[in-house]
Amino acid sequence: METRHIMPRSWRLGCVCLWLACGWLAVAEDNADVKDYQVKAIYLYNFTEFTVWPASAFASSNAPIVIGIVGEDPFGKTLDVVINGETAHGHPLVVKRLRADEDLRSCQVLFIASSEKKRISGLLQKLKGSPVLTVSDTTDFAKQGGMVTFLLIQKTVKFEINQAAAEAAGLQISAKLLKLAYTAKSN
Amino acid sequence: MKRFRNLPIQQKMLVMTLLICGAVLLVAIVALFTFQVLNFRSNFQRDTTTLAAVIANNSTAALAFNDASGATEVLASLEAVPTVVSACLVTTKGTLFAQAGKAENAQSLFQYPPPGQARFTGEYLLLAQPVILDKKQVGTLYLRSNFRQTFVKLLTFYGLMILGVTVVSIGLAVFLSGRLQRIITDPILHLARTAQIVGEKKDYSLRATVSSCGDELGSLTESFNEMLSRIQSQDAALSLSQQRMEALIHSIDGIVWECNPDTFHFSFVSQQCARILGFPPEAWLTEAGFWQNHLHPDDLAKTVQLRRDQARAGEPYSYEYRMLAADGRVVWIRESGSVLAENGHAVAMRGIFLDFTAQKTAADELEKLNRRLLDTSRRAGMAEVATGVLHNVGNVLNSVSVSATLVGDRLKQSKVANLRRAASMLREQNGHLAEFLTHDPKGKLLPDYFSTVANQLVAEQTELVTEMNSVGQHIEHIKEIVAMQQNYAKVSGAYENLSAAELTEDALRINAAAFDRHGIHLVREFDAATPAICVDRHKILQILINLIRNAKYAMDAHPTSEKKLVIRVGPAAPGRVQIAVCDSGIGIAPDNLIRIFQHGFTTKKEGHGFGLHSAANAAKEMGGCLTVQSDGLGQGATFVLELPVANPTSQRKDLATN
Repeated sequence: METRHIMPRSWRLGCVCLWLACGWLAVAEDNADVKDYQVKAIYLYNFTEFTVWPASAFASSNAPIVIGIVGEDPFGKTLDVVINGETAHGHPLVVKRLRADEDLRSCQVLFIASSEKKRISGLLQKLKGSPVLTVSDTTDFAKQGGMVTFLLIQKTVKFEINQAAAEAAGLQISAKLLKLAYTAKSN
Repeated sequence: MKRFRNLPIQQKMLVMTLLICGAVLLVAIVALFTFQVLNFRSNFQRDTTTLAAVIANNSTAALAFNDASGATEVLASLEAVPTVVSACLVTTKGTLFAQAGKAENAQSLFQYPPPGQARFTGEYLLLAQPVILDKKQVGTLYLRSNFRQTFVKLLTFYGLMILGVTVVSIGLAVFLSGRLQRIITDPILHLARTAQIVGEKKDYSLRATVSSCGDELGSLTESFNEMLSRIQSQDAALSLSQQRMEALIHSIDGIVWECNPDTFHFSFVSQQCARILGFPPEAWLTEAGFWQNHLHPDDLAKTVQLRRDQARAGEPYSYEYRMLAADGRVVWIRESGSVLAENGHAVAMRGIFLDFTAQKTAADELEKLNRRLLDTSRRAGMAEVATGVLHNVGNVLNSVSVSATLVGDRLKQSKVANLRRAASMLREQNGHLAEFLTHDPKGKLLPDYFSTVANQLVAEQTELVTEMNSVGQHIEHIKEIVAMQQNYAKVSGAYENLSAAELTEDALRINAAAFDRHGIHLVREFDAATPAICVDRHKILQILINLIRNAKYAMDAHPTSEKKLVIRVGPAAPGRVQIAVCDSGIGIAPDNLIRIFQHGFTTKKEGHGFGLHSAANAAKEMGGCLTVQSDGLGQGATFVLELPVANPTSQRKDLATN
């Protein structure tokens, strides 16, 4: 019965799950960092599900949700695998790797890698007022005005959300997400 | 049902209202309850599914971010729902992600239906709710909910609600019907109260107030009032007529009464009782055996028995007796009454006591008077007879007197003195008698003288003897007359069977001398076949003497005609005997024919007009009649006395002398 239930409606989700399971099992003895980024990749995808962008953020109704990565990509292929073929709110998901000097406003989700730690304030400054969900795993990201910050608490990936910053950008973050998140505020 | 019928109308209406309310409520409650019970499962399933959907939706983030504690927190919120026994989240991989309430295991999870479906098992509703995130299933929520508890709670709730609704409804119904029913009941109660007061006080002047007009109650009240006024007028008329009736009853000169047919205890007496017998009505009504106690002792036993007999007979009756008044007077009472019977059993006696003491006394007086009158008339009759007798005796005595004078004269003229002289002459010649008789011239004449004297004396004697014989005969006649008179005087008032001819003969005998003296030619026409008559000898004789004497006077008054008196005795109509006295006298004028028997009518100078009147009355008394015929003055008259024939088997009782 259980197997019947778990039988995926879409084989993709089944693959994701399978991959997750395999990943978690593999990561058990693997590098903890790799494992964390696998989780963070899934979380990035999940964030799209629990965030609502204003209509102005998209060129058209079927325009993709672009997940941009600035700096050194810590996910490798993982993120691409995670979002491959997935949709959120009817929008397909696309991953773009960007440089800091590129126009970051074309993204809906922007992961600022720890490599860009020093340029974060500038980047955030640039993005101010744009409906872009900024995500990073650097410390004090939220204090600088970042929206979502990955945390590692007791070897488990958690996150904190600066709701005020998100709202200022015109984003609406689901209460369900907020409920799981730690609360953070800008300085 | 009988108890309900006996309830006052207010309570009845209340009960009816409550019954109606109760019935309506019951139907509504039963419908609602049934509907709720029937819908309970689907409602419960729907509610639980909604709950599960909400929980599942809230669990998406927790599942997506693999946050078991967050998921547990969400599931923990189900603890606020008492029906939920257990809830668990299972990932798409089939691992238990989070759970709350009673722990589930693989075995118990196996009971659950496929996702999106529900199943009732025992007291539980098992629900599998897929957790969908953006059209993708991220897990399944399994919810076990105890519906029975809820059901019981629901029942309890409904029970309480029904109770509350019922209590409130009944309260409201009582309140409202209490207010509203007054519209109906107040006039009815008012009417009933008025009727009750009218019934108790018999005051028909009361009227019910017409509170509402137009509806049936208004017209009922009006009809009631109209009825009252009609009763009032009828009552007034009734009491008036009753008063009149009472006044009438109490003014009747007699005691109107009603009594018990067994004890004779009075239940009603009219006011006159106090006046007639001197006892107030209370005494009559309260004293037991009043009537018996105040009866005259001499009449007591007989009257009580008589009344008992009448009570038993049940017929109207009337009889007389004496009662003793309060002041000791003897009061003659004529009791007329009737017996009131119901179902053949006497229940009351009613009647009237009439005081007829005065009449009784008057009747006694009358009887006494009658007797005296009878006595007087008898004496008068006797006197009349005696007059006739004396007249006749006087006539005879005349003859006696003549004879006596004659004898006296004869004796005075007698030669007896000469004889004494002749005898003394002979005594002087004593011793010389022979010489004297032969020589003396005087002496020689003596023998012839003696012879002549002797012859004379013999002739005188013969004459005197003859005369004395005549006197003796006359005296004998007188004796006869007197003896007859004595005979009639002795017997009076007795009815006897007598021969009409003999009686007539007696009457004629009394008048016999007069006939000769007046030169009346008497003709007797007696029929031998005449039956005996039942009469009072004295009265008949009186009538006949009267008639004969009248005839004699009539003929004396008419000197030219031949004095002829015809006495006819013979049978007349069947059972009747006729004695006719026909005279050839002066006759009677037609005018007088009708007055002739009236009292005081007479044509005689010395007459008192009593004779024919009493004769006619006497004839009537004996059952006969006296009539007269006359062709007019100078034509003579015929008096006919008709008398009843004697009844051989029974003789009439003597009435007068007893």
